[in-house]
Amino acid sequence: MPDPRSATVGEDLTTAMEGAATRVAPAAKTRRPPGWIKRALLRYVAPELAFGLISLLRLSWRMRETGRANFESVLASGRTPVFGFLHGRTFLLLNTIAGQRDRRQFAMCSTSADGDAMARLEQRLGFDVIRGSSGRGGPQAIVDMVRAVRENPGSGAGLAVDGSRGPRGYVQGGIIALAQRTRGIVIPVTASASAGWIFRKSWDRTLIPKPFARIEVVFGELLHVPAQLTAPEFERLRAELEDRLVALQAHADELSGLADSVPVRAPRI
Amino acid sequence: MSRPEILKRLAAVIALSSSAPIDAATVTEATPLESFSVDSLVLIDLIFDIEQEFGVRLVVEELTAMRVMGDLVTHLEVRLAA
Repeated sequence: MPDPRSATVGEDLTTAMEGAATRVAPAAKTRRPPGWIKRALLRYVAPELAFGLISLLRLSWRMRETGRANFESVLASGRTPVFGFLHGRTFLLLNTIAGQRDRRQFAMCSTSADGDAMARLEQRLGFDVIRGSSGRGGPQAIVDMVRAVRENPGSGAGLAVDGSRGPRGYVQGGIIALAQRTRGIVIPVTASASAGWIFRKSWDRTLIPKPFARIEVVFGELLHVPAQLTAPEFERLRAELEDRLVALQAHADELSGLADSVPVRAPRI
Repeated sequence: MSRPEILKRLAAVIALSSSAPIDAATVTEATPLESFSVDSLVLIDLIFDIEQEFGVRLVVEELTAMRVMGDLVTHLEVRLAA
């Protein structure tokens, strides 16, 4: 049985690092690098480092999948697999849902500077990236994704569904619109780790698994989205996906033994 | 395709996409687009419904920059003639 306390190490570490930074900052004469250097580092260097890190970490992780048959059944049906997952667990899922040689996988990434780095990382991992988020360029990104999936039969799509900036656990409607227009079937998916760091300062409580952690990837029950939906039906499906993802994440955490001190809940707003 | 015909077909498309009840017969070129309660999800529907009806691909920014139905009719008229 993994030690659930290991999950909180990241929180302690983050706090400790923040404390250290606060103590050192007044004495240090720091010269900030010009903005373009920062942007270049974020855009070109960070994704390569992250890619190397993921590749290395992955070698040490023990991956276990539950419910993969759900995904396989969508592929067998010829329908479009549309993965829906929560932001905080994206890092753990990238390898599992990335495109394969014979199947393109479209992913949405925000247009922010952080999104630049994430987009490059996702491209390196085998995704076709479409830029946009619920906050900026979202509707156009959904339109572009629908067109891309339609023009590439056999492809799939994936979205971190709780917006680009939260609220954590609140599912935006874009994924339902995407599935509706692509004959897609939504596959709720999440992951957890037996040991990891949780970045408690980030709104999504990003989880980074530690080396040699056991990763539990859980594919949930499929969500069928009819092509025609009334507004109440649309909202019912959106809320249904939200409930399923929250329950799925709790289940994945239970399987891995991870104890997040602030478990995700379905916010009704 | 004539402007009145574009307007008529467009009004029918919008009446189907919009979440607000719309009487297509009352829509004129002066009708403001914002009166159709077009949120971001309706916007996505609208773009694909217009594409299906007229065979014209719109970009979200083009649509959100328009103020009245006449702007959209003009845009489609130009694109259809091209």
